[in-house]
Amino acid sequence: MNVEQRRRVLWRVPWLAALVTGAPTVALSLLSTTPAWAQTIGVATLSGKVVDTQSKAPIADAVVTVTSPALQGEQTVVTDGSGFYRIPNLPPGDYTLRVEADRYRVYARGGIALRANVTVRLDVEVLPETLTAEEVTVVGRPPTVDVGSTSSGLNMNSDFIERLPLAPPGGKGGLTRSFEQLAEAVPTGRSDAYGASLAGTTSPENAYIVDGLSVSDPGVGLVGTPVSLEFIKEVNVVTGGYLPEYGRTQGGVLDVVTKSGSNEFHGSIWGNWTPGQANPKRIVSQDTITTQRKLLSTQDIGFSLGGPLIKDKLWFFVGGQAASAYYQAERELNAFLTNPDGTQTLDAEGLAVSAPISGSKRQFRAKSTQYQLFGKLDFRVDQNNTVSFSVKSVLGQTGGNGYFALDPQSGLIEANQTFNVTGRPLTLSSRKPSQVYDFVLKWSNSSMNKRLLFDTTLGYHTESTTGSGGLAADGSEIGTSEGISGQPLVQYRRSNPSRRSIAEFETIPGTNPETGIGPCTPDIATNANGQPLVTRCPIATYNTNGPGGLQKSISQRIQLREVVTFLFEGLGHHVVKVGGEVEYSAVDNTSAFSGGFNIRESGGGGAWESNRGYFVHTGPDQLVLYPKLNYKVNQWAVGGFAQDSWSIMDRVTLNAGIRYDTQTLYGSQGDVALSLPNQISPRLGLIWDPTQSGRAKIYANYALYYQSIPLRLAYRSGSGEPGVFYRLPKAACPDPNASDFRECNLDPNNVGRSPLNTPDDPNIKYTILGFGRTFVDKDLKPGSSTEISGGGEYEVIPQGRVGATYLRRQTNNVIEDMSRDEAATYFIGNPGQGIAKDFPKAERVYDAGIFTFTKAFADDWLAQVSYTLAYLRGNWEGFFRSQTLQLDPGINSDFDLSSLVVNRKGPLAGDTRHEIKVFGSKDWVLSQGLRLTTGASYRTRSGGPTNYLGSHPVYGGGEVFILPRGEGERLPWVHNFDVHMALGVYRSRTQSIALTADFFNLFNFQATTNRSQIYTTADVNPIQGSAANNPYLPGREKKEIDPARVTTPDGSTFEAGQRNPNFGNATGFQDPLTVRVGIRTTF
Amino acid sequence: MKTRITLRLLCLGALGSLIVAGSNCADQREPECTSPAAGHFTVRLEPTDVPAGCENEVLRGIVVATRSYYVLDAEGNVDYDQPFRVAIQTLEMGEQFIGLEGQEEFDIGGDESVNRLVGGVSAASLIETNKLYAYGQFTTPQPDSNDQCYIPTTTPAVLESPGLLAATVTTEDDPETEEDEAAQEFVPPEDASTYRAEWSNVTFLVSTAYPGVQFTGTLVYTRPVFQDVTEPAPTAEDPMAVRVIRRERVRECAITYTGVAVSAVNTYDCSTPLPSDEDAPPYAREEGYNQALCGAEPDFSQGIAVGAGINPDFPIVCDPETKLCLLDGPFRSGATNL
Repeated sequence: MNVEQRRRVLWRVPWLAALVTGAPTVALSLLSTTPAWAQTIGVATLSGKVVDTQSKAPIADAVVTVTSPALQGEQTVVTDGSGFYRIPNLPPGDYTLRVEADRYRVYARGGIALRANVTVRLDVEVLPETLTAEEVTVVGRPPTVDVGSTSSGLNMNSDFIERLPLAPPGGKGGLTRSFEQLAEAVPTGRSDAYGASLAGTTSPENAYIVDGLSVSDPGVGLVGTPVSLEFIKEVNVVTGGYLPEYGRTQGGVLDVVTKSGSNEFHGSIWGNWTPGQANPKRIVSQDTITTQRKLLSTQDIGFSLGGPLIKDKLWFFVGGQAASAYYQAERELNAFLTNPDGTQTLDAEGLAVSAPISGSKRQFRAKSTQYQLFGKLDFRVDQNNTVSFSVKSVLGQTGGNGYFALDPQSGLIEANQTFNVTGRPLTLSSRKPSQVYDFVLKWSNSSMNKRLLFDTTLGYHTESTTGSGGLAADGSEIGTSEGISGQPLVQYRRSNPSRRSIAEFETIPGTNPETGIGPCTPDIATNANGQPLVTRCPIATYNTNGPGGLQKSISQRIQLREVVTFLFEGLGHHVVKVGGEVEYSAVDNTSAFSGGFNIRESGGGGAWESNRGYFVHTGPDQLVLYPKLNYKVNQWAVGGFAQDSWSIMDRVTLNAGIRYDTQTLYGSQGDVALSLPNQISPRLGLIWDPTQSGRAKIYANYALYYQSIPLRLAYRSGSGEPGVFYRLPKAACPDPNASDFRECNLDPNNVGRSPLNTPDDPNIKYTILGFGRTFVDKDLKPGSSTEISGGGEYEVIPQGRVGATYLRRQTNNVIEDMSRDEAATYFIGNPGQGIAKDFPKAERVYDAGIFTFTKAFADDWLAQVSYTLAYLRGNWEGFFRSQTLQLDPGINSDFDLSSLVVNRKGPLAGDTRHEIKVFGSKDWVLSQGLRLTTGASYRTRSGGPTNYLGSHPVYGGGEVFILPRGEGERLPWVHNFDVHMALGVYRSRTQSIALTADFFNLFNFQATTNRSQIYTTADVNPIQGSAANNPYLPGREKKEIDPARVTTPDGSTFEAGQRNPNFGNATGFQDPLTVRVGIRTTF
Repeated sequence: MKTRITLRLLCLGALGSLIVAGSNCADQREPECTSPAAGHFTVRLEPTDVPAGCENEVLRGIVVATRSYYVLDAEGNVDYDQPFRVAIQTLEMGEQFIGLEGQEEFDIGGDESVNRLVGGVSAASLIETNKLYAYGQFTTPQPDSNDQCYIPTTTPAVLESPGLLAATVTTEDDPETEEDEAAQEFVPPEDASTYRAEWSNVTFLVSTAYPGVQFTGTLVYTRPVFQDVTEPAPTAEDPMAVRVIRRERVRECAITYTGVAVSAVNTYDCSTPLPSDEDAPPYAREEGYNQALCGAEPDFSQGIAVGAGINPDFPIVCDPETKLCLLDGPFRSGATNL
């Protein structure tokens, strides 16, 4: 073993270094007991101790300097009396450290990788000049274990992002390759309907932070600024154990650091193209109308450029990206087959058999475009002051001009999980323009040799969106009588005695124009009573005329944050941090129904009904119709925190802190809609490094998290949504094919007695559906969760560590609206507490064991491997309901009525027990200047639970859990194998041109990702008590409820034929094989 | 340098002040004086003034509904500062009105109908001037410190029937049966009459837990008393048989009550008449009444899919006499969760 090899060993087994004495060496050790919480969000800290290599005496007044391509200029500090140094506010990147002290040799070393929000401790032993020593090259790399923090999650820098197949083109965020897509790579992370779900929570509960500014949508809490990965330097996804400086979330934190310019001019130009995807598996459906969705193409081009405006003083970074996506929605009609005697043809399972109607295929398209612009200036005023200012803009347009919209919130066509063209395309389509602007000003100031730090962040976020409703596709203005915005949505939905046929609305291919006989014509038209026997092309609903619900929102947020950090010594090293932040946000929301109200056919087909429209009651049978509701609501959130990270004897770190928050939401009338004061969140963490060298940690953490409530609650419950039900005579409007219902006599004052009217109701014509604002429990407690976590990490190879973590997060209080009298009056409270004490307590419990192996990019390869065993159960999913996609944070329907809460406890939608994620990348040098990067990922998870759902007599379809939650057959395992390849020609380290290719779902697996869980559309009771014991039909391969166990509210017998024929059928599959190719040049 | 540090610390202090100020915004919004937007109230009635001759007309319980309404300002916009107006209507007056509507096209057989309302008036015209609901307004937008809201007086509810004309209903013979169903039935005329309900001193209990779901007040309820005038109509089977030739209004009884009302959104009636088929749910298998129907929670074992819509804190009894789910105690009974 030569000297070099021996030093490698010393690096890997540092404690051996202490045994090696007399060797003329520069010894360097990396101790682990690092004070955490010492950094501002999004930046890193380097700290350590400088000692004499012989005497081990601390060296005061040594000059410590760090430089990095990521850092504008250099940062210098001087060690204190104990030889301790600390350099905060370092942008993530690779650093070089230099130590100079009188009478000592200059010490320098590079390869120090700093990740965002991580404190790395680097202790240095320097050689006296009097010593004669041979020249030594230090090999190996500093440990990557973050020994100062108890947080779990994943930190992804450009090494990770650029080398792996991430951010697939389909789904939410796929258009621009938004940062939230990275959650799929994180242990405990997965995509949910609205973004990234972390540690069992729902995406709107997360905190989304870009350059220190919260960019969540003030209305509903989703990502407001979908920043492209191209402008991002690092994404830190924190899933648990996080610091008091993170607050107002009980989900996770997605903390994004954007790119900055440096002293060298660098730029990049890129283009990506997804030329479509393999044919998706067809959804089997017992419907006349079926629509198949398929990605046609996505493409994006962009550029970035950064460099100095004044060298060592002022730097810039600018970038832009244009992206577009096209989807195809192929619609086909099917006719049910009949027997010669006119009865329906059934298959072996008793299901009706249908066949596609030849020539009925029609192709529709959905289109979305988005433009991003990003600019940033960094100004180094002096050694102790830096100022940065960044501007981001995201402009989007989707739908309109003959295209359907790709809903920005969910990524789905027209925000519909099972989008189907069940009516006039113009009625079903929408237009969803969006504009987002972010401005962030940051000032960092240090003094007292960087022992006193001030960090100020002032940010402004504004977005103009259209919610899930969108605007009318013809461009007409919301709330006016223009175009289809002035036409009511008309919904044909007769179900009794028979459904309508599609042939009543559309010309069916193959129909004889003279006889009218075609594929949808019944073989035997009528029975003896003149009633049709079989409707061959029945439709559940057909939508015509106006688009119905419309929405437009303008939101803004102003945020000011000030953090003071102070370092001192006392029984060890302390890093004390005190911070405060104020946030004001406002939403100016306009909601309307096209034409003022929706019109639907009564179930029996004999009348028109309206149950959607903003009608204000001003007296019995006196209505004022508001063509639109415009509510301006706002909120103030103020908070502060204090924390100390105490490094005791350089062995153990105790992190103790507390956070205080208060949030007040104001309704449209200016008064309080919801007050959430006194949110006191203690956090306590203990970390011990048994190796005392920064290569391992064992930790435990306790935290209480409070959740802020988005403003949607303030403009719905806090402001009031007036509404009525009334019935119009059928003669008021023509039957199908009326092109414009404005010609009908729809005057609500000409209606007859409401069918819901009872004789004691002072209103005869109308039945009130909504009135006034929702009351709030005076003892309402803010939503919160308690988390305990513990685990350990150990560095097994240089830059590679294994870890095991146990995480338990459980809700304490949940905010929901409820009715104690079956829908007459509602209030907002905590289910199971206060005035809602007779409701079951709302809860969500997440237990996870997480095993990881992480190898940072070094020696041309990286790896990220995890296995998560997790259990998620309860009766509250979070801020949205996966069954219906209802996104009403704090006022979802889970607890609305006591008759709704039965059977709701069980495994929640995100309860995918086993999850394995393997990411790996390797660079290959093919020849001088030619490099191949290969990356691959294998992700697999066990299937989630499904349910048996029925209709509730008051709340309608899908709201009754017939059996306890999760009793349905679990979905199958889903496997994904993705590959990334990049072939690059390099002129220098920073000049290259590369061709890239990503293969998502390489093996084109088509596992079922969702099934129809609607067991019946009939009103039924939940099965409880002894009836719930094995309520299945015997002898079936798949569990199937015995219809005899199902009872109905009106006492009538539940017939087997009332079972939904589509129940259990797949309604969603994995996205098929999709290929994305790209080209990129950097200079 | 010191100045800069001091300045920054002052800024932090200002932020701290804001936090303290924010913590003072601790109160939730006060509830508004309101009544439920849906459903019914059962009202337990205690008579306080019974005119002579009306002793047999005393009611022990009735069903009413209340609704609240916004008040418009001079420009026709909702004035959110004004307390709500409230309408209270009895089930009986509503049913009487529906009965009068039915007389407008009274089926006399043979595809013919007549308007039995005296003077040929329409039922709708009857309530254009006389409303079926008592109408008042809360005195304040918010409840007082006792969680109470007040409506001192109301415009009374009035239903004036002009009287009904006599009619003859013809039934034709069904040739497919052996019996001869052909007959003519005399429907007697009915005198003009008046129903009138006037509420006063109405006090609603209004808090977040009890948003207007109990009220008490004074009700002067005027109802007509009819007597059938008959004449002999002997038949072969019954030589003493009589027939009604007129329904005579003999008096109107204006009885004053103290009412105690509780909101029962879904179910106010706990009677269980004999079921007509075997599919009747378990709760209705025995004739009479069933306390289970007044339960706040659904009882799926009894076939009760939704609760009665009565606040679960309130003591409720299925009253054997009225077969209504009535509050079992005085006003504010069970309101322990204020």
